[in-house]
Amino acid sequence: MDAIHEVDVLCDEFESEWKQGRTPQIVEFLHRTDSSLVESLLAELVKLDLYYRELNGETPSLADYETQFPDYKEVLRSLEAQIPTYIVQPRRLGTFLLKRHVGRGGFGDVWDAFDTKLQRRVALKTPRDREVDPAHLRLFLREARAVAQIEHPHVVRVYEQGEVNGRAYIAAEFVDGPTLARWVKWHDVDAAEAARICRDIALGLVAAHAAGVVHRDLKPGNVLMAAGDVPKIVDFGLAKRLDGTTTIGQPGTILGTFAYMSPEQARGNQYVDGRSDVYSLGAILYELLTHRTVFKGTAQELLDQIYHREPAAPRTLNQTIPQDLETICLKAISKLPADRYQTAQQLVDDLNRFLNGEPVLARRVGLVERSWRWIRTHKAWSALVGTVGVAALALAGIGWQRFEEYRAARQVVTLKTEPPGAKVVFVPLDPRTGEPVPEKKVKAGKSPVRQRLLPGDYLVVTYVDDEFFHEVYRHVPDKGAMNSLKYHQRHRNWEVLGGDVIELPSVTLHVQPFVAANMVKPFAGAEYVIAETEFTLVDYHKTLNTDQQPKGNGCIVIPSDDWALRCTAFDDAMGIAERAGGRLPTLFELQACLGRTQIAHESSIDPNHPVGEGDARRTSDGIIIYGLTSNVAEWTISFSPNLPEVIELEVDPPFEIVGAPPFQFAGPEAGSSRIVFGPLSDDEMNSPTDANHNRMFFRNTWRNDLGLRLARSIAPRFTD
Amino acid sequence: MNESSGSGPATWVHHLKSGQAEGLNELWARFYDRLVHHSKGRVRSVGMNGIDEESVACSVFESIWRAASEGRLESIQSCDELWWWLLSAAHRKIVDHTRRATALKRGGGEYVADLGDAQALQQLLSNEPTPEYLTILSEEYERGMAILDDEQLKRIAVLKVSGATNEEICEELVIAPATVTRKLRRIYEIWRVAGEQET
Repeated sequence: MDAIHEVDVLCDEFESEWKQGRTPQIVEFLHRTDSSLVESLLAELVKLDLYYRELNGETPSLADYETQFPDYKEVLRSLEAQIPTYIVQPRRLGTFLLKRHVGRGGFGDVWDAFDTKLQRRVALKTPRDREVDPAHLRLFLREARAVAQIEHPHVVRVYEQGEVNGRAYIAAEFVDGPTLARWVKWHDVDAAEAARICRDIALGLVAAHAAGVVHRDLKPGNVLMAAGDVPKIVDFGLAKRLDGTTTIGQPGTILGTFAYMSPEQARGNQYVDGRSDVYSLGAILYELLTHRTVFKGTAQELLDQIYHREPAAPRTLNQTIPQDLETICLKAISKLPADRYQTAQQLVDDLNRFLNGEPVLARRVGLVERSWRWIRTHKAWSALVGTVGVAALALAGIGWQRFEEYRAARQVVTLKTEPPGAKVVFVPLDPRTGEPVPEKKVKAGKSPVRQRLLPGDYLVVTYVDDEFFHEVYRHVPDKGAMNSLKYHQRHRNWEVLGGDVIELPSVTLHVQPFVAANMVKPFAGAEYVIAETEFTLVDYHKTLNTDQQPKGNGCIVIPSDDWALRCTAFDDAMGIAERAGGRLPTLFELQACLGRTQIAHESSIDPNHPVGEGDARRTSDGIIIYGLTSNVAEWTISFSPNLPEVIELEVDPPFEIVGAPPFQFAGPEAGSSRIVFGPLSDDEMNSPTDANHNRMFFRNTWRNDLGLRLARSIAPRFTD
Repeated sequence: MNESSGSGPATWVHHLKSGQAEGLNELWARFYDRLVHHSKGRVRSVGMNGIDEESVACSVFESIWRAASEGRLESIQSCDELWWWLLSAAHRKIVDHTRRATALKRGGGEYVADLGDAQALQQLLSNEPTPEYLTILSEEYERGMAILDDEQLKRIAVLKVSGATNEEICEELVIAPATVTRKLRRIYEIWRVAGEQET
């Protein structure tokens, strides 16, 4: 009795430390008991330790403790039967076998892993803290999606990204080699080799920029040297964006990053283009040639130099550096983006000329010009920061050349809201991922607004305050477009008012969705609420003010008012969601609901809920979400270049909304499919193995097992 | 420390699960119906959602009622150790009380061993729960709860007797699964020692 009691008390204390956010050490607790109890205490503490480490986003293994407590191997092995099998070796994350912990990046752990499904070795990255800020997680996954499109020998390939049990991961090509930062320490790099390495990296940048991805944190630590000294760029945008520690506020800890950062980025300008990467690569070349970074000093000194000081010419540090290569290097690290190579390709070309012994295009800048340039730079930046402010910075970021094109392409767009006077923000959607790009948002003031916008899809946030708002989607057509086909969905309509002015359908603000669905916040910290059930027939009747059933080819009649609405094509789902005062959820939002819930016990389910019967999931806070894994799948707003598209075309007239004009077939086009979340049939629903079915369906797909669920942001986004 | 692996209620469940005592399911069903029938009359009006602080003191009949209404008692296999403990403790009392000669083995005062096989269970179940039995069951429950000096232990015991799984307890009390198992072992031990002292 006393023994059990003593072990219990120590375990309680150990657990309490974990719950208070500390990391208690097993060994310290073992010292507090006499030797007869050590074994039983160790066994209990290890079980607790495994549980809380996993909860904190680590990937612990029983083997970790065998190393730490070699004398107690027997005890530890006896635990195998008592703890989840994936914690007993080998470590697993979904289909991945985690073989070796190889490092920690700015955003989390990196594992040498094996994809058992596709039978290949991968580098698996997982954010360290499972409770990572959802906004960061979105960025993590968004970047990964964008990078996944890049297939190039000098870019580390991203194979896939996703979530398993609520843990996000990125599976990338495994490169067995050191970073360039380490590699240079035991290699003597001559000018030609430096030029070759930088040319290869620049080739990688060309591919990335073509996919619309800017690295933002290119440095020797983010270049891996594969077998044969082949450089490969890694961590596009990830480390920089997820590592909140990369700020000016911590002198001495982040100089490595600043040393390669372009002036415009060092100023905190989020809107940087590929020329920022050109600068960083120039800084790498500078270091390979001179064995020192462009600037040295504390963070503050570094920033001051990056803004105001011209670097020492490489040849003043090392006479043997060829002049042409020095010229290329200095051009690449010009303070003004417009003075640099305008594209990574131009840098590749000049480096190739140097390697082939041809004259390079970069011009040497004389002392007089450099002085003038210094003054101009100095004045320009002072003026920008001091007086002109944000707008000028944005222009500088875009660059004059591109600014001209940009100005020429813009449309004048007008938009009204009900009630008038709401503030309006246009957030462009990334055409490759469909995600909003907050850096490019345009605040248009109070409605009715008149705003020049580039053609494309937008998330339009209209708001009076944190409660009274609506987030809708609108399309700005190319210049010269005729009136849109009259879709019944407002997000695809526009009207040409003449004189290059386009009117977008107006937006009606809501305090909350007005349909029957109960909106719940699925977990603490969620930035959205989601309907407790799928969108039902009664919701549909209420939203469209009709008592008719949706009609569609092959669609069976929905037997009861509170059954899930089905047979909606994507655009219908979008339109219905907007009219109901909400929006469609993202894949991430639905996956988060799935990942944070467990099958609810019957006792906690409302027996009168026929939606998703036998399929209710409960969060740890006791919130029930019905039908997430029912046999009716749900449209999301998301799409992914990595999922194959399912295109099922029906020739006959599909679903009709009462009073709407007839359906127009738009034809498959880029970004015209969306991810559908959840099982599609009874078979899939009843399959216990994987509730997480995601597929890309062509937007005009209407099926008997495809509906929607309403979501709404807790507060209007992108308003700051 | 071997209470869960040796004889005793755990062994019953093991026997039942391995299908050695299929016929017992019928016996259980009748016994259980009877228990529920009795508990219906005695249950106070309590909510069915979750176990709040007040419920810590609730009677065994409320636990039976709750477990029954949530469908947790229908299968004999869903029963967990604490349930069997309670039933066996009440049974032993009855046996002692009436001083009826039984075929049960008696060993060293450890009444756990008394009911350590399927036969013993059969014997328990084939006797309809008499009013006397039910009173003793209720007393055993209250006594069991009373000797748990720690609020957390009490809550775990109530949840467990009410048919909650370890995972549900872990979620409800926000503690690690290993803690639930450890605490249950303590409860078991406290009850066992108390039983021994009495004998």
